[in-house]
Amino acid sequence: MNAALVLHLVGLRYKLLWAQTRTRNGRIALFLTAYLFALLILLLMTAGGFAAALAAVKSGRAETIAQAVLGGLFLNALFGSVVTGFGINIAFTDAALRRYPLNARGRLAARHLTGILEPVWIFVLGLYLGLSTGLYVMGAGSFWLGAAAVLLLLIADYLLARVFATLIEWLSRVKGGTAILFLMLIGVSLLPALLTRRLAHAHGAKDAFMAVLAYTPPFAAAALMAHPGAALLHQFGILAAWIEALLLLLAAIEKQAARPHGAAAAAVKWDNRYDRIASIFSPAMAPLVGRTLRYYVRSNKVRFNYIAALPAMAFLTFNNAGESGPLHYLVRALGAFTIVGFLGTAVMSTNQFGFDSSGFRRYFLLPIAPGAILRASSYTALSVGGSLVAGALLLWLFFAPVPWDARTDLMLLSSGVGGLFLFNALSIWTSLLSPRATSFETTFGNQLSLGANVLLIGGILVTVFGAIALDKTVGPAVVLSYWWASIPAAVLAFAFYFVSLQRGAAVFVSRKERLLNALEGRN
Amino acid sequence: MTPAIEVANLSKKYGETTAVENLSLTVPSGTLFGFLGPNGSGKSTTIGCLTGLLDPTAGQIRILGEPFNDGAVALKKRMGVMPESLGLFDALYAHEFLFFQARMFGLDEETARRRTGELLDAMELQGTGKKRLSEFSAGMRKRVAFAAAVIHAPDLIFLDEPFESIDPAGVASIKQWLHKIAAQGRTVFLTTHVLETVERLCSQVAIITKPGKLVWQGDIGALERDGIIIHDGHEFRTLEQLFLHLTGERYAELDWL
Repeated sequence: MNAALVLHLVGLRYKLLWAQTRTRNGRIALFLTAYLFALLILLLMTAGGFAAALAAVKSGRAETIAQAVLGGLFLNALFGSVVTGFGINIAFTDAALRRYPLNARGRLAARHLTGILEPVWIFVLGLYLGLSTGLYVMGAGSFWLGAAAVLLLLIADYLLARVFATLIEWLSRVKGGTAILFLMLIGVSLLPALLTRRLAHAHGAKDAFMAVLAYTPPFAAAALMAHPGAALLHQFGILAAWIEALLLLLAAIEKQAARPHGAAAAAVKWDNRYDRIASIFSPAMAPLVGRTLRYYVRSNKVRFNYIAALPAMAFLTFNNAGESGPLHYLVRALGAFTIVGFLGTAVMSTNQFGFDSSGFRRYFLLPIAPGAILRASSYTALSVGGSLVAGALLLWLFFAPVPWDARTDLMLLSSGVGGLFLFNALSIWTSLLSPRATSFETTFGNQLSLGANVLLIGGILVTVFGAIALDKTVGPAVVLSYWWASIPAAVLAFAFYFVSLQRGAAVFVSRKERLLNALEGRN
Repeated sequence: MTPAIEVANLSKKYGETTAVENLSLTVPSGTLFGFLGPNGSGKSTTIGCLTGLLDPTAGQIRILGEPFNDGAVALKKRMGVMPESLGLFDALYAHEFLFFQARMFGLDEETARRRTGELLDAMELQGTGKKRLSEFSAGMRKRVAFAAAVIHAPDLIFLDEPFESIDPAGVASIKQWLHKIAAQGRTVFLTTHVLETVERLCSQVAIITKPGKLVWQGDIGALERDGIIIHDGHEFRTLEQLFLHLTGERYAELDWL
């Protein structure tokens, strides 16, 4: 293996990351990253792993607390990276690395070293290290054993995230994969509630569950940190076995995913479903909507997010909301309905032209006012998102454990429609002011622009925590008594959308060349 | 006869950088017009300004006798463009892309479908019904981009490097179509670095140097008739000799190569 070249590629990855900071968006991202990093260090030293370690030793339950902290961090890092895409961007594909004098092992090492050295995983490592350092300082663990355990745990975490990402990417491309993904998502969203109920009621289930957890990476690492002398080889063996198994699994999935899926020669077959749907718009707009609709439907990213949106909404609504009465579901659902239509399309609608690559310049060669292009893209996002709002409402009508009340349905419908207009209005602005050239083909990796990330992550946080805050502070009865307020809110959102479309068209024209530069990678 | 393109004092700046400077040019209708220049001399920028992709910093443009600006939607319907980067929508199939292009340029559904089929046949792309444009080879992508530029039978066609990556049979077909288009009184404005092709194909040529300055425009029919072009007291037997003389391009020696 050519170690020098592998390290050179790792260095190149960081140079590329640094090069991104030369753009205005990149500088803002750098500032936010530095700010977040400082905040994390602070958290690490106060309420994070280090403080947890102090508390663990003082309470005499070092291993239990280490298990909880490591388990929580492990799952958060795993789901955080898979859901947001941070930390699983593929800097260099195997095919791209073949141009260098590297053998298969060298290419594997280069891919995974550049992957695990992404800033996100370094943050996670910092948090893990906080705990192990804390245990060492309090005299409850060995520094070197703890550090080794943390390193292996990080590798397992990274590999598991990579396995999930590759599996989902592959499933979203193969026939029938979307259905499997949907079932997986339903399972993941309902699993916590089912597991909690089962553990609470079945005698001995908790002990059996804990015995199984002892064979997971966070628990093995926790045992190594808190009891460095006990069953050292056993715990290292568990971590090593996980890493080995994940590497093999990843290789198997990558092999499947790499099998040629290029289409064989086939005669042209006209499929005008998209054009028929698009024909509800004006004749001048219909071809543009039909084109954009094809982009939405054929994008793995959009398809995955579309099928994940309703299970996510169910999770947000029903997870721990109904303990004090079923009406609490309503308040949580208000938040979920506001974001659900946007969740399915956000990866594309927040960066409407980012997937067009050189096709973007064709818009300006077409005999049509540029504003129409912006409208067509936005109308398509609204239509696709609208179908999710309708689906969510149907699910609510059939399955919600709340007595039927027309006011609740109206509130939810208004929230869904209002949220759809609000977030799509904001998406117009992120598309125009914070564009980013993005690969159409990939499912994973966070390829959103800075503005789109702020809008998507901010939108989720505001709607989810807003609903929780409303539930806890005001209460569902008061929320229901103000049912009518959701209608003017939706009208306001529509007005904002309308104004954004009008103003956005002018900005689209004035920023034409800047958009061209950004989307063709010249800034 | 109204010129197909009239450009007066066209300039395009990107911040402090001048890409095109004070360019004036007239392209007669019904010609195959070669627009030549070294890399980075401003050819694509000029085409960008002439097709509405870029906004000129200064100067006037008239296309097919009418003033051309960003809002010239009706005029754009009479133009076909094959941009340097091709401008394809990669998630579409070739037939969907051509159909889209035809519909955007105002063809009715039946005509759009018929011409799409005919162009796919002519471009030997019939077997690509399940292949997205992103999966096409460079030559196939170029063929699709050419087909998109001509599907609405425009009066003025801009082709930026149309022959690169296309196989000899494809190039021969395109050349024949271009001759036919010019013979019908329509105009082709093309750039290429293959000077032999320009020599055989074009009747008129303009040569620019950095930054987008016109250094020569003329009829190259003399090469075919007399086997010689006289410029500035010098005699040139090929377009390449003239080009190298005007642009000052030189051969760089690398000792280690």
